[in-house]
Amino acid sequence: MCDPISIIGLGFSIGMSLYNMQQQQDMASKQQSANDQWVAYQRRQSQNYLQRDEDLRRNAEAGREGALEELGAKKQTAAQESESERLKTSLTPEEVAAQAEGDPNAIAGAMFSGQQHGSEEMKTAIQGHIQQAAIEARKRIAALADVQSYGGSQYGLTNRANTILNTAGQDIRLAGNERSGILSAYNVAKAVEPIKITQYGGGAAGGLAQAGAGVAGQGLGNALAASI
Amino acid sequence: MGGKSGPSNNQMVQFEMQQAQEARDKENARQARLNQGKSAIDSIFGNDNFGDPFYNKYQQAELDYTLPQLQKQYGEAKRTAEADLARAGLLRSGAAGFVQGKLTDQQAVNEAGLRAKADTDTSDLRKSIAAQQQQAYNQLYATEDPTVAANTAATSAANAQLQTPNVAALGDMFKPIAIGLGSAIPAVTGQAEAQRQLNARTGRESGSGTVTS
Repeated sequence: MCDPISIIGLGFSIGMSLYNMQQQQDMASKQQSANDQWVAYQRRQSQNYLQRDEDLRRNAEAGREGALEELGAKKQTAAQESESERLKTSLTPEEVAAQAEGDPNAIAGAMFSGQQHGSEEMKTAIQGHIQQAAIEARKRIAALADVQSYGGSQYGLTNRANTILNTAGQDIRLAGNERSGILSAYNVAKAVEPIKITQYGGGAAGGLAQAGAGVAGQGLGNALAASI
Repeated sequence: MGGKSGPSNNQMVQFEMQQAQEARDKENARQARLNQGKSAIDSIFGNDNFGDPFYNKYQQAELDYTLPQLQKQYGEAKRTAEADLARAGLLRSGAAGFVQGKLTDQQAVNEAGLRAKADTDTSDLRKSIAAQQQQAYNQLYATEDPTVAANTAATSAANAQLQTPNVAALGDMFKPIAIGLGSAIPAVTGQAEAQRQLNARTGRESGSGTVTS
């Protein structure tokens, strides 16, 4: 009924189709594996990036918050008062300080020559004037120290604030620079594509199966025509 | 045939959706930190901390330094004028009133000038604190956005500068008023008026009792 050639062709066609299917399954399996690897890689890269970025952000945040804390009114006022005290000591001449305290030697040193031999009343009056002048001078120097402590003195508020802000700014800058760097690296990692598996010889196997099916079909057709 | 065993990109899509969700969460957290950070800065630099008392203290310190110098000079100028008027026998004259008026006028104008300077210097202090606040904002945004960090750091030193207040000695704040000097250079402001009052009160001729300012 069926010639052997047709049967061979049919068998060949089925075999090639099975081979082709197996190849496709193998390719699908490999592609799935490649996809899984890509996802795992991307997930790892993402987690690493996020962790590193967060660490650096925290560094910057620590610098920023530290600066902010130092710039609070209480700390600035304390710093200004401390600087004012330093300046008071630094700006007030020792002689004036001693005179204001009533040091007799310092006051006597400021008297004109000859006054030492005057009456006690006269000397007391002059010494009182000298001491009072020294007290007033010291008071004004204290006010000057106060003014200076807000601005341009060594540890005045402006210098202090600039130092604090600059230090924090450098911390933030460093963290920002590193964050930009790791973001660039991460963007390169994100651009990595999954491996694309192509079926080697799949087309040929399909063609062979088709040819086998053609031979089988022709043989079967001829057998059918002869039987009619 | 391929339904069960075909390659699936479900995991990839899931991963990318998860990435999108993480990005959204991260952005929400970032915005929350920005809002929280801004509130903290607003509070630290607000009126409760850097209010008028803080600035008034500075202004008063400057006035405490300058006004006593002015008062001292005024006192000395007044004593000199009193002595000169007494020597000229004009202590109880219209000329004395004129001299007193001139001194008072100079005192008022000088004091107003010093107070204005203290006010301006206090304004500079306010600007300096405001610059610090601005820096704090910049650092907040730089912390949350690395791309602006470099610019912020580079400009930080230039901000927050306080103009140096005038802390030099004041110098002579009062014009000398020469009394009893007939040969003094005439045509000085107010001389004619002083002379007119002097003549009216004393009946003297101009000469030994002239007042020049």
